[in-house]
Amino acid sequence: MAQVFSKSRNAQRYRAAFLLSLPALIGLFLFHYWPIAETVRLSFTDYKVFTGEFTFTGLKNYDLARSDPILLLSLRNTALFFLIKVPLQMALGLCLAMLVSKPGRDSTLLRTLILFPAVTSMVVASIVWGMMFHSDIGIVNSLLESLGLPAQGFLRDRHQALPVLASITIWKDVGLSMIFYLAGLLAIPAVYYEAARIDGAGRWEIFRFITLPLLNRTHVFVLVTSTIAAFKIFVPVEVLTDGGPSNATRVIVHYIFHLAFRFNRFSYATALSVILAILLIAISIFQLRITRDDDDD
Amino acid sequence: MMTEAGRITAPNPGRAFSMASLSRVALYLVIVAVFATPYLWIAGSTFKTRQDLFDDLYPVSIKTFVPSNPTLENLTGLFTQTNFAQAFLNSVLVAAMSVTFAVTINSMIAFVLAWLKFPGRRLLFLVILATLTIAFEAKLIPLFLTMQQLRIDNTLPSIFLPWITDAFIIFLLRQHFAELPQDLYDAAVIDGCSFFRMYWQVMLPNITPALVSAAFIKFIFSWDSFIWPSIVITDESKTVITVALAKLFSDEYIRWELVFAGSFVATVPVVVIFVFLQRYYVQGFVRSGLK
Repeated sequence: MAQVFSKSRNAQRYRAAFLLSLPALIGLFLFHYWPIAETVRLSFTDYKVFTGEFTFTGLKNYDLARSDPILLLSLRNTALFFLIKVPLQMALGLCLAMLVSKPGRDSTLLRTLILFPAVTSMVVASIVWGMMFHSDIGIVNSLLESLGLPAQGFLRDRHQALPVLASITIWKDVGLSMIFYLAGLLAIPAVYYEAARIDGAGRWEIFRFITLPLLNRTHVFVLVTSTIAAFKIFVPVEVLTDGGPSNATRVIVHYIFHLAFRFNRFSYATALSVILAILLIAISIFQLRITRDDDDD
Repeated sequence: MMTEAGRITAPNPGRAFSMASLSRVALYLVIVAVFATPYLWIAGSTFKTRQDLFDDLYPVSIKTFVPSNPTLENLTGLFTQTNFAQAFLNSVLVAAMSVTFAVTINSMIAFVLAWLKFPGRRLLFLVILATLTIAFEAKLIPLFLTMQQLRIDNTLPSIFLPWITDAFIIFLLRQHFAELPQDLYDAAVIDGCSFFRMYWQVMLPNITPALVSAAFIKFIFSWDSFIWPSIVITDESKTVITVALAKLFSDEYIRWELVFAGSFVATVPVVVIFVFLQRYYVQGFVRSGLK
C-alpha cells in the first residue's frame, strides 16, 4: 500500500516536472533547434523571390561561396578585426582589473564607470563614438587640431576605419573582461604573493610567474568569448560605415545580413551562415585545445 | 605592490607628490576621460541649441560639455516630431515582457534540472547549453521565415519570443537551485509539499539575488537588441528605441541635436538602474562564467 502511494506521488512529481519544463522546451525546439536545422536545409536550396519557394540545388551555394571574392574579403576583414580587438581588449581588461582590485572608494567608482558602456546599447555607443570620430564635426579631430596635429579621416579613411570600429567595441566590451579578470585575481590566494616576496621576487616577476599563469582559466574564458563576439561584429558597421569605405569594413555578418535582407538572396546567405557557425565552433575548439596544452606544460 | 588586495599602507605625507602617485593620478584621469567623455558630451549636447552644438566644438573646452543656453527644445522635439515616444514605450514593453517570461520559464526548467533525478537529465542540460555555441546570426533567416509562417512577424512579441528560452539563464539559475540545502527539500517533502509548490514557495524565494541578476541581464539584452527588431518589424509604430535611433542617425539630413537627445533618452534609464543593480549584474556574469 505504502509503495503504491509513493508511486503515485512519483508520477505526480514527474507530471509536475514535465509541465514546468514544457514552455522552455517548446522555445528550445521552435527557436533554437528548428531554425538551425532549417538553416542547414535552406543552404542546399535556391530561393525564388517571385514564388517564395526553395528548390533543392545540392552544393551549388557552397560552390558559389568558394569563388566569392567579397566573402573572402569579409572573412579577411573579420579576422583582421579580431586580431586588433581581442589581444588589446584582454590586455586592457587585465590591466584595469589590477588597477581596480585594490579595495577603496576610487576603485569602486572607477569599476562602475568602466562598466557603463557594457549596459549602454551598442547602437548608442556606435553613434556617439561615430560622432566623436567624425572627420568634420568630431571632438577628436578638434582636439588634434588644438594640439597642432593634422585632422584624420577616421571612419572615412580605409586604413583607419576598421581600427576605429575595433576601438569602439573595445570601449564597450572591456568592462566585462575586466570583471572576469577581477574575479580571477581575487581568487588567487594571498599566500602565493607572500611566498614570492619572501623569495625576493620583484613586481614584474610576481606578475609574470604568479598572476599571469594562475589566471589561465580566466584567459581561456575571456579569449573564447571575446573571439566569438569579435567574429560576430555587426552593429557599428551597419550604423556607421555600411561596409565602406571601399569595402574596408565589409565583415562577414554584415555581408550575410545584406545578402539576405537587401538582396533577397536567402539561400546563399544561409550557406554562408552555416560556414560562419562551423568556423566559430572550430575556432572555439582550437582555442580551447591550445590553451589546454599550455596548461599541461 | 599596487595589485595586492587588502594591503594597508601607512599614510606618508612627505611622499604624497611623488612621481609614482602623480602618474597614478594621471592614469586615473585618462581612464575617466575615455569612459566619461561620451556620456558628458551626450548629456551636455542634449540641452544645447543646434547652433551652440556646432559652435562649441572648436576648440574643445568646458563649453563643449556644459550648455551655455540650456534648452529643452531637443527633448520636446524628439518626442513630438519623431516616433521616439512610441519607440521608447515599445522598448519598455518588450523588455518587461521578455524579462517576465524568460525568468519564469527558465527558472521552472532550471529547478527541474537541479532537483529531479531522471534519466537523460545530463543530456537535456547539454542539449540546452549547446545552443550557446551557435551564433544567433546563423539562425536569423529561418527565424524570420518562421515568424512570417506563424503570422506573428511585425508584432511586439515576435521581438522577444525567440530569446525566451535562454541557456545562460537556465545555467545560472540551475546552479543556484542546486546549491540550496537538501534539508530544505526533505523538510518540504515531509510536510507533504507538492513538486510545484516546492518550486514556487520553497525554492524560488531562496534564489532571489540570482533572479534579479537574470532579470537585469535579460533587460539589458532586450534594451540593446537591434539586428532582430530591425528585421522582424517593418511597421513604424512597432519599432524599438535602438532602431528608431539608428534611423534618426541615417537620415539624409541628420538632425544632430535630436540624435543627441535620442541617445540621452536611450541611455539614462539603463545607466541609472545599473548604478543600483550593478552588484547583481556583476555577480550574474561572474557566477555563470567561471564555475
